[in-house]
Amino acid sequence: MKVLEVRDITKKFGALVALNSINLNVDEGETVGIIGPNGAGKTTLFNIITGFLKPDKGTVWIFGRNVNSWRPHKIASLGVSRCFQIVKPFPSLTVWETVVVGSYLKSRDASEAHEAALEALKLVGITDLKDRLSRELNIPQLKLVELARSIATRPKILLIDEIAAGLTPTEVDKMVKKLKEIKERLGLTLLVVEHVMKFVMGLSERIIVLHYGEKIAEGSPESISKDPRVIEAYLGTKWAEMREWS
Amino acid sequence: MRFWQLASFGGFLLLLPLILGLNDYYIFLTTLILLYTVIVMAWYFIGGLAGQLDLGAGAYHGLGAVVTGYLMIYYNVSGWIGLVLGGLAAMGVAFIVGFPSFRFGLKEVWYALASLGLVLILQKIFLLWTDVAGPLERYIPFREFDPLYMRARAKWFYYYITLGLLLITFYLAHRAKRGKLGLYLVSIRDEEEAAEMLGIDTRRYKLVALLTYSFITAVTGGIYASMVGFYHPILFDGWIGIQTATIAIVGGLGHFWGPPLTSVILLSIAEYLRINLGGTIPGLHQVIFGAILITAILFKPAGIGPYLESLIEKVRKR
Repeated sequence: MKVLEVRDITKKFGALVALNSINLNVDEGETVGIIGPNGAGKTTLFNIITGFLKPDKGTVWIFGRNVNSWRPHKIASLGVSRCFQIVKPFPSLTVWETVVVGSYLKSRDASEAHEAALEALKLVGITDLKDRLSRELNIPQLKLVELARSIATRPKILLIDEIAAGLTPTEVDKMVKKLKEIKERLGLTLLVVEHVMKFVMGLSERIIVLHYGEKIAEGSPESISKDPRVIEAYLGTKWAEMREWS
Repeated sequence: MRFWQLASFGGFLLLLPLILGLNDYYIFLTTLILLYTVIVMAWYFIGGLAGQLDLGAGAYHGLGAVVTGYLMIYYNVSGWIGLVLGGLAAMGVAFIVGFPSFRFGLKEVWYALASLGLVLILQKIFLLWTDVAGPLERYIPFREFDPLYMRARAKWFYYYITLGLLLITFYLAHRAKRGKLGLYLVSIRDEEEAAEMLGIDTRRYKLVALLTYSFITAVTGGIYASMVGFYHPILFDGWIGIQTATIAIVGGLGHFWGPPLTSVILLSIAEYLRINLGGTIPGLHQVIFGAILITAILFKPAGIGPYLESLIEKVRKR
């Protein structure tokens, strides 16, 4: 079943074309990776899907509904959640309170919200940070808090923007394992923007490559890693030619 | 132990008019201080929790005074009903101003200026609207003691009304702080986009905070008008909003106990200075009050609220 459809999306910032008629279909339970060099339009695409930006052309369909004119909070209550690329913590709240803010969305009362929050903390594995203030935490910890508060809203689709940035290779492996586990447990559909190849290759079933607002490739991780257009986009023409010679 | 502390504190508040020897002047001053403290506590919703630097308290205060007074004078409507209708009128104005403000993301200093502007606009409107207010004071009919009409010569009557309002405001603020509303508002204050992504209708919740604050502030205006026995457009006073925000900031932005305690302490000092110095060198009391504020901000930029709160904790634990 198709849960998310991005149909012919174009977004311009002045003369800059951030996204040029992008199409994307995501099926239920899929994990789709979106990669591309800096400025390729990955985060812009996320901003459009979650309603923070309005596209100049095209439509976004979530669970068969056109959400173009919807505000982010309504899209969230439809079952979409998102971890931001640059973490957006609530500095004056504790980790516990932060996650409870998320869990109130689908809870009828406080005790239900508290239960859901506890569960989210356990799933992400940060129960020990529970009583710490967000402003006391470091970036990798804050990313986990964002993950916890996002899944506390009990989403069906989760958008993750560069959660592995700054992690060591062992930590990346752990994160991949953790996300797979969470996905399994909650039956999530994942959309992942990432620069760390080890992460995106290990997690995704399908990868989309954006370059200057265009979709230049789409396919399985193996086919993408061998695609000459992708190598060219990332490493430049010269490198692509060198690879052909060797 | 805690029960006895609460009981003795409550008893003190209840018996305060007697402690002041039923002296109308002192009770009047005490009531004024409590009225302004109510506004500080109401500001907790829009300023402390929702993080909007609202300076428009004078607009809602004045509106409450005019509506309550007007109905008492011309329609012989009880002040109690006037308080509610004044509050509703203030909520209406707050909605008309707040909806577009939040719709177009008005924030920080721009929001502050817009809210202050509202005070001036309303003042001018009521100065020109001579059917309702105009440049002359409108006097509320005198009653020796008429609790149903909400008018009395003795000031202790207003003291207890204000005390009741203060308790209700405290209760509402405390409930909000502990519950979903408070968490939602603080998350909006801290990081609006993240709050939105967690499914919070940020505009709606900011409006809820603004409407709560405007209602309570209007009620203080109605009580004030009945207590002094008249209303006039000068009650749309920009200073009230500035005083409220200043006290809340000095008392510790977003803290629960700091601002109201600071309000009682600072306003008592201000009144004391005004009574004792205001006559000798006009304006000196304001200079000293300003100096106290500057000192507090210089040495305790986070506000004196956190210190007051830890002091309360210490007393409690002992």
